[in-house]
Amino acid sequence: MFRNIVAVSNSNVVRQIAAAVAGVALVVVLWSFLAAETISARIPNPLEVVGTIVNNFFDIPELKYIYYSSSGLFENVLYTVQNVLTSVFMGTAAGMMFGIALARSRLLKWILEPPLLVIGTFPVVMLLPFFTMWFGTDRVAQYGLVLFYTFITVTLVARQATLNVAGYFEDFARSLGASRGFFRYRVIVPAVVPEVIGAVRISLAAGWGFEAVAEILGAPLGAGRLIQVFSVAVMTADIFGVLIVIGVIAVITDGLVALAGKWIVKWRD
Amino acid sequence: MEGLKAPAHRQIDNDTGDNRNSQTLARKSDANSSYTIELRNVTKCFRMETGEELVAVDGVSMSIRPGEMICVLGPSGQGKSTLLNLIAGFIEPTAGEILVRGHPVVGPGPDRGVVFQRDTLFGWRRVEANIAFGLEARGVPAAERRRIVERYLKLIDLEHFGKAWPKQLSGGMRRRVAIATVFANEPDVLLMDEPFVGLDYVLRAALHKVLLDLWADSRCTVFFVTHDIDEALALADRVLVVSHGRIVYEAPVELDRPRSAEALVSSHASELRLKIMHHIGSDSSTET
Repeated sequence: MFRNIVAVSNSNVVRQIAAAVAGVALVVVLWSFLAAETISARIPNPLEVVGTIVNNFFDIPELKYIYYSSSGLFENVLYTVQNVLTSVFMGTAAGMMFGIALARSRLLKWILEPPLLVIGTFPVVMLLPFFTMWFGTDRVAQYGLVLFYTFITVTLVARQATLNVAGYFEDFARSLGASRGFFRYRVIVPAVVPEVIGAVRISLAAGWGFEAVAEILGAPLGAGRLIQVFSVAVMTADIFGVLIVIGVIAVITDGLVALAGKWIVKWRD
Repeated sequence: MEGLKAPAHRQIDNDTGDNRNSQTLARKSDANSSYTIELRNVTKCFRMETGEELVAVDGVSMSIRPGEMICVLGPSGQGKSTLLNLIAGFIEPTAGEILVRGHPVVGPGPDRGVVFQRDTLFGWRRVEANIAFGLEARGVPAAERRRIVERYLKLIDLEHFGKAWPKQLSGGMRRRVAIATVFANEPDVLLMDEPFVGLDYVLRAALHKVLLDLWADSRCTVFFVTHDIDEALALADRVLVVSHGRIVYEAPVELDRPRSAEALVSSHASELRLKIMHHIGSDSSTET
């Protein structure tokens, strides 16, 4: 029976992978068809885009004409990835602590919840000019936006998850002798992790876009900066190349977070 | 720690033939001394959204001896769970006094373990970690915790499930773990709020046996809320009927333990059952 279960699961996985490959192949076919019907400056064909990724990987000569220094796709994408991951990590840590504190402290709730709810309604991208004004082209300006978005998202999720958990378990835990601190670290934190993982995935998904926009406005490196340079030079295939590389990295990152999340919350159904 | 002063960590004798600990012996010798639980003219009122005041418990006075198992019966919404929550320290009385071992109740504490109707297993902790939760919270050393957990896993017949996640357990197994979690903390008082509601007869009978075995081992005082008369007769030393926030009937259950199916349909049991049914929903004064 165990062999049958493994066989069925493996065939399901194989089917899922096959379906995904078929989906990508369909997109590529459609893309090739559209590229054939128009000029390269509008929609380059897939092979041309792959060529730009290979050619630009370590060096992009066009950058020298604008920034007097050269770098490649790898270095720029690495800059973006580092910013996104760092800011999501920092935003998650801060958001989780703040969300739990907000749910557990009446004073904090009264003072901070109203402004937090208002700030949470701001369109995040509208804050970008402020980050640029305050931090210029410093790296803080780039990951500040992603950090802010992640912090707000995780805070609100952690706060609500804490309220749900505390309401359900607190009496029981106290009747077993748990102090407030023990309850916070042994009950609340592990219980809210599943919800926070969901918020992290949402933040990552949006984070790539926010980071790219922040880099467009003024960054020494980054995928967004490359997109800006290539768009000025009407290098459409190169733009597609950057987008595809970032997209693949985003999918891989999300997959890794999902896998890690699945392991962390293996206790859940 | 809130509530009463937490009991000192107890040395558990690990003899194969005798699993009593010193606290159990002390409870037995206390049987003729002061009460474990005392309620003195306790009233609890709740203010509704409409502004009206609801009297959930109305001037209740009662005493429960050490080691006694009391079942509190009554229809829904008559104050049974409110009484339990008052003794547990989750809510404060509007008037009156509640004493546990002579000390006023000022909040929840490990001396009064609670088994809730809802599932309170911590899903992110394995079975053995769930049972150890209270011990860990009270700073019991790891080696001692392991011994106590192993002992209770054996007592509830789940010794091979220590490493299992709660999601891997059936409903009955989860209930056993919940009961063991509270017993492992060795409370003086065990408060159970309709813990077996919704379970089928066979499972319920099995859980009664688990509870009675653990109670015989620890001999703590048990305050068991139920709306099932047969359950009360199967478990209790004494039954109380609560109606409209007052105790309207109280009687000892004079049946030998273990209680067989025949004993539960004996004339004494039948007479008691009739009297209980008569008083459920009644607002007459207390009658013994």
